[in-house]
Amino acid sequence: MKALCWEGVNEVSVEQVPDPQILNKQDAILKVTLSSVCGSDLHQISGYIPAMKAGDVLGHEFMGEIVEVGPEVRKHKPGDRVVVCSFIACGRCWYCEHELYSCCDNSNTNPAITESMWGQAPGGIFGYSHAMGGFKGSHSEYVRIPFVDHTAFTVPDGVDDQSAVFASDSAPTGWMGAHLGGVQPGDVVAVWGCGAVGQMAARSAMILGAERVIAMDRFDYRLDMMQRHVGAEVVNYEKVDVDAVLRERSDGRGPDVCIEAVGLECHSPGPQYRLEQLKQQTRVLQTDRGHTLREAILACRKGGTVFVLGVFAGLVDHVPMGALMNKGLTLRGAQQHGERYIPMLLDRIASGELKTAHLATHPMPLEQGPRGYDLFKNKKENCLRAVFRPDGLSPNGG
Amino acid sequence: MGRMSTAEQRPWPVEVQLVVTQRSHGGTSSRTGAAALAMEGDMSVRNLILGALAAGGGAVIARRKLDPRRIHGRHDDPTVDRWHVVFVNRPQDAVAPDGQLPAPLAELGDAVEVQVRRAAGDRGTALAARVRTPVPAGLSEATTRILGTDPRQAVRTALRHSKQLVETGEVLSPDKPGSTRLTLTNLPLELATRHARAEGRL
Ligand SMILES: NC(=O)c1ccc[n+]([C@@H]2O[C@H](COP(=O)([O-])OP(=O)(O)OC[C@H]3O[C@@H](n4cnc5c(N)ncnc54)[C@H](O)[C@@H]3O)[C@@H](O)[C@H]2O)c1
Ligand SMILES: [Zn+2]
Ligand SMILES: [Zn+2]
Repeated sequence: MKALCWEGVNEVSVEQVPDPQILNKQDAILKVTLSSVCGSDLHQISGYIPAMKAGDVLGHEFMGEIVEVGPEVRKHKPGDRVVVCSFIACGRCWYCEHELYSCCDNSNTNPAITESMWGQAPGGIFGYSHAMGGFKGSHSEYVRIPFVDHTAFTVPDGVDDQSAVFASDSAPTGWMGAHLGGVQPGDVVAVWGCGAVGQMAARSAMILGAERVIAMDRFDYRLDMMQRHVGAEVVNYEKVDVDAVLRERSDGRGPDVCIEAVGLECHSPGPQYRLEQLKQQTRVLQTDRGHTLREAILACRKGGTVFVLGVFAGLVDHVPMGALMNKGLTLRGAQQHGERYIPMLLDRIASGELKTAHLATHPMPLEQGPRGYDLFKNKKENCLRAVFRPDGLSPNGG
Repeated sequence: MGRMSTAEQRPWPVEVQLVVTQRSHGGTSSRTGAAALAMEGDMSVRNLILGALAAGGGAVIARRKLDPRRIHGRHDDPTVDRWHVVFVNRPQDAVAPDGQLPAPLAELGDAVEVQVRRAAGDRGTALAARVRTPVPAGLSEATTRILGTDPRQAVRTALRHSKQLVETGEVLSPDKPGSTRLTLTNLPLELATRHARAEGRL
């Protein structure tokens, strides 16, 4: 079958790879209908998560139709139209039982790498390097779904594919940031990044009752989308003093909850950006760029919460611990616990409360994957997310 | 079948607990691999993975020289294995019904000593094992770990497999057949994934 593979730093291509097989009794094989790019892929593609092998299949935000199930699959059957959580969860370990699904103890088949780097191993993810289990990604015609009864969710009839696919990754990630960040009615919430994750975080904060949500980016088309589809206030961080704007708009207090939705490749205005980049490229002085994290910690009100949704992999330089400690902040982060939120989010999508379809700015056949990543990575042609159709049909089935 | 001692028959030895928390193998010099990165200035992150896994022995040696908290006495002997522990989200009688250990551990027979006890806070069961006979140290540790013949590797794998079997009913298989190609740059990673469940800090 064909699949979009990582071939080396900043190199992806469509290749022929072996078909997936049922390897465990709780596995299923999914025929992929839609598979989206995600900001996390960019960190793999650029080589900042250095556990990729040439030929690895990318992709983790996806949906499709189940075509085969293992003998111990109970909930799903061939023909089910499902959205699959990007994180694989067994549903029965202590972490899964406590709804910390991305921390699943049983889904990462390569625990040694992350255990050695981070002390404990998080769960497995599709198409997300060998540090996260080495599972093949979803940018392919078929994909194996381990623990399918826990990892896949039937899509309600009223929800179209282009909306449902984002219940896999970006929507639950954004929701988690607002939910576990503790957004309360009346809060002022700041969101760094107007990608799909930032947009979903902002919308979730509004649904949870935030009175003002202020989102930042430097690309006008992304700020426009945030304003138009989500309804958040927007700020171009290249044109203003972010700290001053946030202070003013939170009545002098600082935002109650600060959500970082940018991650380790963040851009920063001014000359220090080149220096940060250089330091990161050495992989020694620092592995991750920390501008947005610093800004969030410094802006946050006393006793507030900074929630890190953006992916970090290793070391960040100059974290303002003094501010964190003396202001009594809570700093929290997580890979997304999608299994906790997906059914609820699908309902909200069905009711129209949560809009996601607009995120798919560039639907295209899988064959055009390399072009899709070029548009997405370099923020060309107003691309927010390129979404691939492995069946080769043009957008929306036409 | 491996011999088993339950918490009732044999209380968890205090000195062993100290060893478990303070003398962990796994190849990096402090709680996170990140610290090793800062120390070993010439290593890229990719090498860090190799450093942490393949050449873990070397890093362990470095750690022994650096760590001022080392405990003295019998368990300081690097050839005496420490306890390796997984916590299983099931009661003791589900982990070892009638004293019968999960198959992956039972298969190691008398080579290992095993404990099954209540986990703190009633979080299921702690399943612990250690190699009875002297384990490789120093240079021989580095070599056996790369070759995959260090007896602790079998213990780690058996513990991880046992936990999965008890919790989920099967051991999750890595994705096969692979689609990757062996290249010079991914060689260290290849080595690391080959010992995927046998290494780490467990
Ligand atoms: N926690 C999780 O489970 C999870 C899930 C999905 C994605 N992510 C991570 O979330 C992050 C965002 O993902 P995405 O898909 O939206 O990516 P994206 O690339 O589409 O969006 C990132 C946005 O951040 C903006 N940005 C860069 N520097 C900034 C700065 N200094 N201030 C404000 N905005 C800045 C960029 O212009 C871009 O619009 C990534 O790090 C991704 O890896 C995490
Ligand atoms: Zn993602
Ligand atoms: Zn689990």
